[in-house]
Amino acid sequence: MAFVLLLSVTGIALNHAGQLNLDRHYLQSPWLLEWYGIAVPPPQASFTVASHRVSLIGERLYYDNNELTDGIPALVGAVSTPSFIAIATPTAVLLVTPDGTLVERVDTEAYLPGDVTAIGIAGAVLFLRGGDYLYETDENLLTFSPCVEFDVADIQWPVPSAIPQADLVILQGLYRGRGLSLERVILDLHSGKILTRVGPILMDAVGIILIALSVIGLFMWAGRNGKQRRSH
Amino acid sequence: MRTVRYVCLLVGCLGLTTLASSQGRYLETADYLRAAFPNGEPMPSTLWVTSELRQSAEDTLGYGIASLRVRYWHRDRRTAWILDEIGKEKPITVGVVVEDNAASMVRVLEFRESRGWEVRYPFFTDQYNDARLDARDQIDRRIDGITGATLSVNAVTRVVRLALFLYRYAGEADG
Repeated sequence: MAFVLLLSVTGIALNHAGQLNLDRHYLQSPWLLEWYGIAVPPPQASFTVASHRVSLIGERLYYDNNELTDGIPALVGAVSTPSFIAIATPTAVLLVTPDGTLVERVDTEAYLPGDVTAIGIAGAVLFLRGGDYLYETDENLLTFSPCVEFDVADIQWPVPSAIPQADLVILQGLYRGRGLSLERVILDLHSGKILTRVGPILMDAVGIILIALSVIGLFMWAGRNGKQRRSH
Repeated sequence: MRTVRYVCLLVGCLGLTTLASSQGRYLETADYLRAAFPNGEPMPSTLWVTSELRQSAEDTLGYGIASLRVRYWHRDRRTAWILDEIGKEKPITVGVVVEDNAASMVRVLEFRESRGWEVRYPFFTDQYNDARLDARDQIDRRIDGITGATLSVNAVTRVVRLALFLYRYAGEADG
């Protein structure tokens, strides 16, 4: 009975997964995260910029202790311009306000001949380096031009730094908190996979029993009907 | 034996075709803009997303604009927008030209999901040619979907709606 209820409830939930936004709700339970083996990768890179910290863990980019965005393959550097914080990845520069609001994500592949490997600043001029090119741009990233008349010694290139342990613990907690969606758990409950190898076998057994009960019930109903007709 | 070999060859070709047609970068931004502005690519402009614009987008489109500003290119009344929208889990990059409140040249520049990439083909994107927003700010025509690519189809439609919507504000910003 319990298995039938479980199958029914999880099945209905999965049928309406989109409307219920099950993939956007995340579970924080420590024992469940442990059960799933949700591990936090070590920080890939971190930069201190204008009393703020930009860090990359896995593919998630954090500004101070808030997740800014995900899908970031690498963090190249971060600098402070007069109006923004410019955060460079190999294929984009993210402009952020000092309070951590995303202004714009600029796709540098449209402007530069290759991946960005470094970002620097001199005054209000931003510099992007990659391979054998060096380009300069303004803080709004509207135009990009090869750098020809600039003393590269005046450019400040940010250097990565280690994340303080207290901040790292917070970021790791944030990372794990977005590791397990409700949809994933409901799917695994429905299929039995939440109990690893034993679960699917159990669910198969429940399915077979339900089929058997249905067939037996059908035969019993047909038999009773036949008897009633013969007695009339 | 020969039959088995031919079947394996056919299956292999079909598999390669599928791989070749799936996720990837189909069109570079520079190439798209060159096609959108044959007389020379204009400098990019930016449209700041004011609280009024953001609220209006949420109320009319049901769409939350994530950033504080949106980049676009324009010359006279012709604009080009390159926008990202999530299909199932990953963003799809779509280019849309809007001129006189009508869409054209809808192209999928980059597709990052493993399914639904059929939206890149002209048989689908050509449906948006001359599309406008109606009185309810919906696309003024029925868009035929693609089986198995519903989320991608919806994402492209959202991008086109957003580009048409933002065009009104871009026009006001430019005066």
